[in-house]
Amino acid sequence: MEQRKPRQDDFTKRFDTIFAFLILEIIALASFGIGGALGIRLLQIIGFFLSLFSIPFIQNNYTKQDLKPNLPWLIPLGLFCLLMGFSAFFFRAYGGFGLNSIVYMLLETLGLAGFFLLGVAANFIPVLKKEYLLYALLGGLALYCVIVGIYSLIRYGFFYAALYKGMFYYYQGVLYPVSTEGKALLGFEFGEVSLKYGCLASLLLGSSGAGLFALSPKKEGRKFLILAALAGVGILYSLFIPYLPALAFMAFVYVFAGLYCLLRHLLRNDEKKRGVVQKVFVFIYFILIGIVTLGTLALLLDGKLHILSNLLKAVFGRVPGRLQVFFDAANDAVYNGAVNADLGRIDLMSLLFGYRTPTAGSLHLTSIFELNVLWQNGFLAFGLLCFVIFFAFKQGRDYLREGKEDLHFRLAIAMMALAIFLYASLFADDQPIVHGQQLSFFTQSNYMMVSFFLLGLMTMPKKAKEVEVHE
Amino acid sequence: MNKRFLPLLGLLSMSLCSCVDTEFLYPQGAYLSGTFVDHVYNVWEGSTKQGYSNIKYAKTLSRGKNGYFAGNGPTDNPLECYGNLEAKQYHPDYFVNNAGEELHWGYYGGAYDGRPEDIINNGPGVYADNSPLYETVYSQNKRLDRFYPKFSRGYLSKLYNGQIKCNGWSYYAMMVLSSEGYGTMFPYELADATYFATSVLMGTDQEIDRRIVTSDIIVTFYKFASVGLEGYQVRLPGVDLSCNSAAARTSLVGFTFEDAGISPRGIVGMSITYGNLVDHAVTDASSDFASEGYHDGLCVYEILFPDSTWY
Repeated sequence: MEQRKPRQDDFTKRFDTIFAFLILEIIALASFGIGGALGIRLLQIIGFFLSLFSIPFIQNNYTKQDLKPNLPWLIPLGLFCLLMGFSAFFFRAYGGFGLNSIVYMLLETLGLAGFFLLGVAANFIPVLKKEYLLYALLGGLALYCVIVGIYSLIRYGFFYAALYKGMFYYYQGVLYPVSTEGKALLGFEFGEVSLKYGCLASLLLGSSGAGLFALSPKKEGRKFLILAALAGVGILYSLFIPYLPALAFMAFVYVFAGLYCLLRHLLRNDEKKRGVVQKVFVFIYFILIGIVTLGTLALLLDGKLHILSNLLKAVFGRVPGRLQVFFDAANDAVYNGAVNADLGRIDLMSLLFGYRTPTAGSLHLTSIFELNVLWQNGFLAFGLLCFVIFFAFKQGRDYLREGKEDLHFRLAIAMMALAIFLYASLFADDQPIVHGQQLSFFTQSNYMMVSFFLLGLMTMPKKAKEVEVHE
Repeated sequence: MNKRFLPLLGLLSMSLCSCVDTEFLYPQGAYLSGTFVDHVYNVWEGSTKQGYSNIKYAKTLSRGKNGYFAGNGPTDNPLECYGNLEAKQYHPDYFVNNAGEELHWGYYGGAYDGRPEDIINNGPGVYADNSPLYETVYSQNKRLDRFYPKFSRGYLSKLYNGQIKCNGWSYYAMMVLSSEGYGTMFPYELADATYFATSVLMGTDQEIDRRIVTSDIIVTFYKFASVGLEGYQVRLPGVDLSCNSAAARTSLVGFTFEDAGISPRGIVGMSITYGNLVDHAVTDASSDFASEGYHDGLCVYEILFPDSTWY
C-alpha cells in the first residue's frame, strides 16, 4: 500500500525552524515551571497561540477526510479540556460571575488543549529533532532540580527526611514535621511544600532514565551519557532527601521498561508469542477498566447505598480516618455535601460540574487526583478523564510498539507519562504549601501541561483508509 | 589535582552549610505535655547569660504614667486585669492603625460586638492566615514576624506571631518561665522603637480559682560592647497578673524606651526574669520549678516592639 507523502506549504517551510525553536522554549519553560501561578497563566496563553500556528504542520500530513476516524477521541478530549477549566467549583472559587473567573477558566481549557496540540505537532515538524526536544524537556526539569536541590541541601543538609524523622520545628508558633517537607520554587522565591508535591519534577526527570535500556553506552555513548546525567539529577534529588515514594515509582518504571525491552528482545522473531503477550495486556487493560468503573460507582453511590463504607466497617470496625475523606469528597460531588447525602438528595449541578458550595472548612482533597477531578470538576469531567487515561494507555502502548522515533526516546517519554500518572493517582497534593493554606491543584499545574504535551507526543492520529498520493 | 573529584567536593561543601532549617528541632510533644512544670523554658541563648552579669544601666520604673503599664484588676476580680486598658489610657495613639482606626485587643469567647478575636483560630496548633486581622487587631498589627520574617522560625516564634492569649491552644500559645528566666538573641538588630510590651499572665499548677499574683518583672536588653554583651535593665516592681490553672487572662505589660531612659538602637537581645512572687491565695507557691510543692510561673505569650525598625 502506498503511503501519502507529507506536503510542505510556504508557511511551514518558512517558519518551521522558528516554530521548532519556540516549541523547545515553551516546553523547557513549562517543565521548569517558571514564574509560579502567573507563569503558568502566561504559558497557557503562549502555548495555546503557538498551538494554533502548529495546525498547518499537522495539516501537511492529514487531509480533512482524516478528521473523521479521529473524532471518537478528539471530541471527548476537547470536552475534557473544556470541563477541566469550567466547573461549578472553580466558578465559585474564582468568585462567581466576572471577567476574572471566566478568563482563568478559559485559560485552563486553552492551556491543556494547546499543550496537547503542541505535542502532536512536534511529531510533524521535520526540522525539530526529537533528541533536542527531549533535552529541552529534561533540561527544564533538571535546572529546577539543581537550583532547588542545592538550596535544599544548604537549608536542610543531606538525608534530612531520614535523619530527622519524627522531629518538628516551630514556625510562627506552630509545629511542623521537618521530614515531610521540601523546598520548591514558588514563582521567583523559595518556599516550603510537601514532599509529595516537591518531588514531582525529580520523579519525571528520574523516570526518563528508563530510556537508557534502549541505548548502548558503547555505540551511542554521547546520548547515553546525557540522558544518564539528566536522569541522575532527578534520582539524586530524591535520594538526597530521601523521598522513598518517588524513588519507588522510579524503580517501578525502570523495572517496567526493563521488562518491556527484555520481552521485546525475546519475542522479536516470534509473532505468535507476541500476540499472546498482547492479549494478556489487553485482558489486564479491560480488567482495570472494570475495577475502576465498579469502584467509582460504589464510591459515588455510597452516600445512599453504604456498600463500601459498610464493608470497611465490617473489616476495621469503622471507616479508617484516612479513607473518610474519599467518602466525603464523593458525597460533596454527588449530593453537594454530607447533609444532603444523608437525605439522599442528589445535587445535579454538583454531580455534573463539581462541588458547587466549597468553603475553607470543607476541602475534601484526596491524594488521588482523579477523585479530586470528580470533586472539583464533576462527574462529566471525571468520566472523560477515565476515557483520557485509557486512551493514553492505548496510545502509549501503540507509541512504544509503532512510534517512528528511536526506542530510547519513546521509552523516556512513555515512562515519564506513566510515572506521573501513577504518582498523581496515589500521591497528589492539592494543598502543598506548608506555611499556608493556598490551593495548588495538580490539574492546574505546569506538570499537567507537561503531561498533556507528553500525551500529544504519544498520540498518532489515524488516517482515513482511502489512499491518496500527493506529489 | 584530579578534577574528577571537584563535583564531589562541591557536594560535600554543602554539608558544611548552615542547615538552618534543621538546626532547632524538637521531638513530637516537646513543650506540649499536660504537666505544667515540664514546660519551663530556661534557655539563655548566645552570651545573654554573660550580658546579664554585665549590667551597664538599670532603672526601676513605678507603675503609672511615665512608668510602666500593666493590669490593674483588683484581687477579687482578676477578669479585669487587662494591661492594655492602662496602656491605652496613657498612650491612645498606640492603639490605632496607619489610617487612624482603632485596633482591638481581641475578645474572649469568640468575636464580640463585631470586634474580632486576636487570631483566626483553626484549632490548636493549626496554621491560619491572620492577614485579615492586620488592620483591626492590635497584636496582629504589631506582630514582629509580619515585616521581619526571621522572627517566624524557632520555638520563640510563638512570641512573635500575634497570639496574645490562649485561645484554647494551651501550651502551644505560651512560654513558661521559672524564676531562672530566659534570654534570647534577636535575628536582627533593633534600629528604632518607641516602646516595649509583652503579653503575660501567671500560670500555676494549683487547682485554685482565679486570683492575682504579684511579682517583680525584670526586662534586660542587650547591646554589643567591646567585652561581649552589656545589659540595660528595666525593673518593674509589683506587677499584678491574673493567675489560674486554666483560662486566666493575659495582661499587656510594658514601658516606653524614653521612660526607661534607654536608646533602643543597637539592641540585639533581651531576657526576662522575675522574682518576689506574692500569691495572694496560696502562700507556699514557688517559681523554683525544681522544688517540690505548688508552682507559679510567668507565662509569656507575646513580645512586642510595636512599629519598630530592625536591620
